[in-house]
Amino acid sequence: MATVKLDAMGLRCPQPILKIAAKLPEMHDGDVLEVSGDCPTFEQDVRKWCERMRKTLLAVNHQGDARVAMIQF
Amino acid sequence: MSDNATLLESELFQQTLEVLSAAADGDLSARLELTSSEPEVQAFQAKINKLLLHFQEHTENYHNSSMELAMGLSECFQVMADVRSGNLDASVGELTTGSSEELIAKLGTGLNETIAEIREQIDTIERQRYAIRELSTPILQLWDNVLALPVIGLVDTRRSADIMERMLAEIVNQQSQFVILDITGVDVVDTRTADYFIKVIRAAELLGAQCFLTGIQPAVAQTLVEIGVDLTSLKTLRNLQEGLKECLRSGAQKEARDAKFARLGTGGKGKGE
Repeated sequence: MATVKLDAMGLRCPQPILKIAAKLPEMHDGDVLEVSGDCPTFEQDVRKWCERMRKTLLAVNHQGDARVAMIQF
Repeated sequence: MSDNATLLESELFQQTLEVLSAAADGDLSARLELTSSEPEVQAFQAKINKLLLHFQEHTENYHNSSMELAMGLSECFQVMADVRSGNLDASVGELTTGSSEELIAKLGTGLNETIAEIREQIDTIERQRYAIRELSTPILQLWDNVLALPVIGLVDTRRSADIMERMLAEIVNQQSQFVILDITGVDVVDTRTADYFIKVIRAAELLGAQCFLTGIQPAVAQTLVEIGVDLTSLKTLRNLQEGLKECLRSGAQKEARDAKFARLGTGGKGKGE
């Protein structure tokens, strides 16, 4: 199981989600994707994405204006 | 105090500034309260509110539409990854195929149709493979108690396992006493192939069947000698005809022995009485 980092800082919806989607084929079961973003709807969008794609959102950490979402595949 | 200063300090101006600042920071839900008694000012405030509402609706629509696209693409990517890892039961869900976004709905539907076609083609290949397998290792009931396995072409691990599995099952089903493994149609035999034949014959013998290897081609015999394969432990005969003759001869001898034992058994019993 690997942890992959994805920088979506400065990107606006739906770019962070599209970046996550593009990472999908590289991820394996159990891998964790650590995505950082600062779009106002970032956290809400990531939560929706995880729900629809049946992925586990382990945590969303706040780092100033940025959010770091940990998604387990 | 100048007119400008009065305007800047007015409650109306402050409220407008607050609402517009919030909008500039991304919060388009704030609205101006229509408190002024002046109709022109109220109209101005209402226009600003209408503009904010328009922006809010437009932004929400854009966000929803973008998210719909992103979600649909994500699902298609997921399904493609699943299919690539061998899961042909994966399919794009109704949320995507029935999406209001035509592009993503068509992509999802197209992907599902492609998977269904691949599945159908794989089924066809599997059926053909099964048919080829059945045809490539026919088992013939050549005579009473005699099975023949004509082997044609190359014999690899998979095929040898097929031959062994089918032959052993047939020996048990038919209660056969003799098996002829005819390799007239085998042009190439290496140590591994020879080893397969030895194992197949040994396994048949463990079930009580007597085995003969027939039809070794001159070139194959030469190769076997050159590579040092020892087939002396196997009973080899020139061709299928010789194999059948040997089976019939051995069968007749066995019957004669059995009859003799039966007579001795009956005689012994009678003597004792």
